[in-house]
Amino acid sequence: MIRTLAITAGLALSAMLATPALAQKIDSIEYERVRDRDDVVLDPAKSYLLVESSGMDVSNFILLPTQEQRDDWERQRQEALAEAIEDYPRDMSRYTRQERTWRESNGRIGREPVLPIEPTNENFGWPDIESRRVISFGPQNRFAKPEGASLWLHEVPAGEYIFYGLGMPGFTECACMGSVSFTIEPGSVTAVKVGRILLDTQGNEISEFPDGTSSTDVATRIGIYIDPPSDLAYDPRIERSRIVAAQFAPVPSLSNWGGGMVSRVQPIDNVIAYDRDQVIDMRPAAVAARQEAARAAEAEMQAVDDAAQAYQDVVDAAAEAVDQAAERVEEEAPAPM
Amino acid sequence: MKFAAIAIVLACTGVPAFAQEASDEMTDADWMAWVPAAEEVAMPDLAFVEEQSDIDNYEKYYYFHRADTDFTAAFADIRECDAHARGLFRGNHTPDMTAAMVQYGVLGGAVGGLIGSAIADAIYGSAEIRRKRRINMRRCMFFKGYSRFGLEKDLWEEFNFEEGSSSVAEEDRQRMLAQQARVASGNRPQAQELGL
Repeated sequence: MIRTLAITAGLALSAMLATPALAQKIDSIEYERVRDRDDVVLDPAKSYLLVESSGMDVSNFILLPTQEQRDDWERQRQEALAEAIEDYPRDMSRYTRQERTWRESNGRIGREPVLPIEPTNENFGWPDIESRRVISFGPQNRFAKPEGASLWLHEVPAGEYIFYGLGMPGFTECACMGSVSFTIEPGSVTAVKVGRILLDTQGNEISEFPDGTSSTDVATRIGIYIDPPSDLAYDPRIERSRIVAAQFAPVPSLSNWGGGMVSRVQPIDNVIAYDRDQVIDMRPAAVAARQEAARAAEAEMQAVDDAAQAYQDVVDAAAEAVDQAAERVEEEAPAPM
Repeated sequence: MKFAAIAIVLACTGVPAFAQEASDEMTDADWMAWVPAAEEVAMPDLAFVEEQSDIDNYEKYYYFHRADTDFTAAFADIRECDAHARGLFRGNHTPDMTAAMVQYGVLGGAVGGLIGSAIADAIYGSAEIRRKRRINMRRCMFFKGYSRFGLEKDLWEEFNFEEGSSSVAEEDRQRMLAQQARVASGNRPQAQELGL
């Protein structure tokens, strides 16, 4: 097996750019790819993610950080902010110098400098730590190639994962507008199935595009999905009882860190649905909670209506009593002379 | 430490519910939070005689519309989709996170989309980035329930922009997004809906 450091796309590629990304430090996620061999032996103490796809694709998953890792990330941010605040007067001096030179030369010397913005805790940007914790599978180095599917198997840390999307950095189909999370328990082989589908103009799945569909339309009308694994994922070299289908929970939105194409996972029965762009939690407990809340709201409305009616009844009774009293007074009054 | 100042204003995707007049003193961050009154935004001309060459280009040149949507809501939606396309949208992926945010600022793209875009640009050039923006806007607005209608290229260029390797000035961008929102919340077009 080859030990690999899962350095995320953002971290590996940040060297291409002169950005503060170079300043961040984070432990790489360590994982091992399980090779396609006859004598596969899985460590019962380790956890694994098994990815099934109908095609040779790249799938990306975020391992959510611990609170300790989040705290460390914030500490680094605060240190960088303190340094930026310290540097700000010098940056302003440089700007003033360059701007004067540029202006007095009527734009012939240098380029118009950009006015530095004073860094504050509110406006100081820092990447999401999750962008540095992405593990990718495929497209090469498959664990198995059963008829009609490809399988990848990695030993990964146990923890909570989010499906980020499909494709390589810069060309990712990001589940930015709706995704799912799932937990990988220690000792488990957690399995998912991922893939792409074709969509018609109304977003419904189709088997092929009509003739003459333009290249932009073809690229736009691609959907992505994540589902429980099919029978093809149950490779005979893995103890069947050890393979568990991922239990999904809905995720509202993700950042498009890779500058890819925004998408969302297809609806999953009893997990995720959409009302326009709003993600709806369709897990039975969430549905039951919404129904209970609706019932409670209805009961409250009924109680308000009942109270209003009771109040009106009292008012009506009082008005009637006043009328009757007035009539009696009128009847008992002496006749005019 | 050498530090390229990264100044990012965090602004909720929900826009303030009051109109703001534009002024010469506005920064990029101000423009990103600018919300004019609908009547201050000029309604673009959408009338044209359709020819086959126009239909062939509807994959690129289009506008959005959604019934029963006011200008402020449409502007917020278009801005959010623009932020997704630029890599400035901050996701809301855990229940304890605050609402989804948009990161704005001079180097905001460095946090989000710039890295991936740099790769795409290096491999395929500016055309690939322009293509991705079209895809992102079409998908995002479709998810939000907007219909899409084709437009003649010259009319489209009056209130839309392509975005490849070089980005659009923030004021120009926001003014055009506002016009797109004006159209999106205006009268329902009589043209044929194009869908996703």
